[in-house]
Amino acid sequence: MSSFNIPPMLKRVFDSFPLLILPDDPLPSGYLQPSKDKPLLYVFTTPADAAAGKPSFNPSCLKWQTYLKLCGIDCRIVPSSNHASPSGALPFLISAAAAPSSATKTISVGALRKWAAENGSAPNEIPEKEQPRVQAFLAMLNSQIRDAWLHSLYLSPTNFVTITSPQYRSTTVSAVNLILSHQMQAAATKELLKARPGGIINPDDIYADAESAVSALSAVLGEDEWFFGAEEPGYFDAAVFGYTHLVLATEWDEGEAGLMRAVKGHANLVAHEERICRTCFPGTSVREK
Amino acid sequence: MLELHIWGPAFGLPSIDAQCIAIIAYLNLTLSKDQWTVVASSNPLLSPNRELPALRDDRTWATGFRGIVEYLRKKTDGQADLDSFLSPVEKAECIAFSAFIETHGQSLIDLSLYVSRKNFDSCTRSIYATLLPFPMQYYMPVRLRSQAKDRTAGLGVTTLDIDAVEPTPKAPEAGTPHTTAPPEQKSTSILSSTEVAATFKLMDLVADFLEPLKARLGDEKHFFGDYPSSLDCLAVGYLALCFYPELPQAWLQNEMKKSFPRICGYLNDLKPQLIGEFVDAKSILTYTHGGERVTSMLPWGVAEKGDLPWMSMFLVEKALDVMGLGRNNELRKQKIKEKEDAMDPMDLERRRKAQAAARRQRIKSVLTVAGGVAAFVGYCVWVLQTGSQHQAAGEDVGESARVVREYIIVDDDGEEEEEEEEEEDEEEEDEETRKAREAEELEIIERMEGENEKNAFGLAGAILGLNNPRPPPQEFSPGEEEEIAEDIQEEE
Repeated sequence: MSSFNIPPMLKRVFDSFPLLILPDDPLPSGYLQPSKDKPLLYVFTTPADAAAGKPSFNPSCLKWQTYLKLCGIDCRIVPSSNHASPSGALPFLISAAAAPSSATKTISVGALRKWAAENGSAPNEIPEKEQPRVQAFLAMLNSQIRDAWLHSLYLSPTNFVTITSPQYRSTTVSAVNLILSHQMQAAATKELLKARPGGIINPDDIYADAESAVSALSAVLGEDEWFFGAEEPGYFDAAVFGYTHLVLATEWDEGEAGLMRAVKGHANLVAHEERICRTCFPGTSVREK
Repeated sequence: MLELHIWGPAFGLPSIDAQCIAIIAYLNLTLSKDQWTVVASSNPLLSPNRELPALRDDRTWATGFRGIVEYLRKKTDGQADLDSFLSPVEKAECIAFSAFIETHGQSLIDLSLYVSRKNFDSCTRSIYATLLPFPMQYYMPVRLRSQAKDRTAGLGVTTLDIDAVEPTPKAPEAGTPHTTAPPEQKSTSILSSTEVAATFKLMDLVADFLEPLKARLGDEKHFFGDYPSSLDCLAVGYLALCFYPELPQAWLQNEMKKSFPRICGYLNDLKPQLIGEFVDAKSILTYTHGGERVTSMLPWGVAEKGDLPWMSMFLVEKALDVMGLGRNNELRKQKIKEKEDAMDPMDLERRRKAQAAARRQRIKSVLTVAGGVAAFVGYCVWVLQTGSQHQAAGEDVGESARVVREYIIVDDDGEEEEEEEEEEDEEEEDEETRKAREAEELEIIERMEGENEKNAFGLAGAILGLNNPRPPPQEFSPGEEEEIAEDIQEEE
């Protein structure tokens, strides 16, 4: 280790810098004290919607918001942005502190399902023999339907201006917003190109794939109340609801509403969406407006 | 005559790409041998999507597995459709499992053939070198690898990439008799622990992919009963690339053999019927480029020759992309035009308004930023000007400057000394001057330290403007300053 000795000259320079420990900065004014009785769920939403307990406008956040409700866990919704999350992704959850002295835990998306099972009453899961089908349909939801969602939200010019950027812009500084919109569009393009090594995004292909995926969902739901013949709504229903509700509730531009037309064409999916809406978000049903 | 363009053969399989193998199997089952040829052109630029596989029917192109299947179904009015016997629910399952195989299977193939450096360097890259013409063989594999890395970045498997980059730990130095355990063992145990973690992660990924397939398959010969469907073609395409390649890091093949014999059996049963037996890549490639004909189960065709068109097309594409006139843009413009033609005037008006609003906002932000920058520059200029005026007006520069000036005196002295020394020692040897200067520097530093005691945080602290817990240093009148300067000179 002799080679790592600091030369005496340098050492003196270093020594002349004192080790100074500054007092902790005060927490930002918007910080919420962890509440004693309710866990905090950080999602993409507007402050007004959060106060009213309305659905988030992001499919993944809405999925978890719904699933936690289905598990009987009452969360306080906090409007946030992905820049605030420790893992860089929303949603995340801060558990309630049972006693004043006990520490709270921060739970990221990946561990949320386990946490929900430990802290709530997870709905009756779909029987074991149906699990392969659940996995397959989840993969379909996360590839084909998600691609169409990304395209209609971020890469359709009118939708992006009228719907997406007002929702996801988190600051009032217009220059920062401009940069953020560029970043969002670039991220969406990158995400879509992952499955398209040629580097060409063809909207017709994306919507055709999404349409076949939506009709597959409709076919597998059939006349049942919940997916895969379950007794009560579960994780997969929440995941589907995350997309169908937002697709149906968003006011798309007439020329860029391919995904909405695809969902509206299947009455059983629309009815499924409404059933979950009634259970979890009474008063926010699309049809009641 | 339908022409199917694919990535070339490898590993005894008709193609190195899973989707290409899958579509070969599909065409093989639906069409007779004289209706189509398969061309190992390995040129993605041929297709409008810049992706292979691509099917050419005279002047129309269909790309990708799903695209080609859809095209064939429409073209033949449902004659060439493997999925026609499925019930609606089974069709839904077929779509869902296809998406499942495409996402999970692709990430395993990415990891085993591209991300794993050992496998990529010793196998994949050299195979592409035989498939591609001269300049492309350097560009394409690297690009494919970086795409594979992007796709698998979220899976949390990184050790595969560094396995060959990180050398095996150095042999322990001799003469360490005090360690109880031989150091050699220690280093291997550390190595193996990271390897074990990575292995667990990989086995999890393999199980995530194959468990649902195994469960869905049950004891059947095909996914949906007695007949092969498009799902079987896709499964064989992806599983074959997982199972058959002989690689230096064969974790995927080993795990499949060990834990999923049912899947291996399914693959071995179905492969001969779908894509034929072993494909000799070398003879196929010679035939593709105009050599001797080969006998094979598949109707291999001859590729249009042309390294030059290949290369020039590639360069033109890249140039257009850079200028923003690439194919993506073309598609977008076409789409917008189509839509505007079909839209009613109210919508058009609303869209125009939205776009105008966006444009206004963009201009506003640019102006804000420009204004901010201008204001800052103006402020800087103003400060510089007023600063120089102050200096011209007199010496009154404030007390902090005075504290620093003390050190400037020291510095000045040091420099002067150096200059003197240099003059004196001009003829002496380098060695000596260097030693002298080092000693001198040390001395200066020591002296500076003495001075520094005035500020608890030292010289650097003073420059950085750190808080001084002690009262500010004494102020010296000009007379005192001279005294101090004299003291210093005396010390020397």
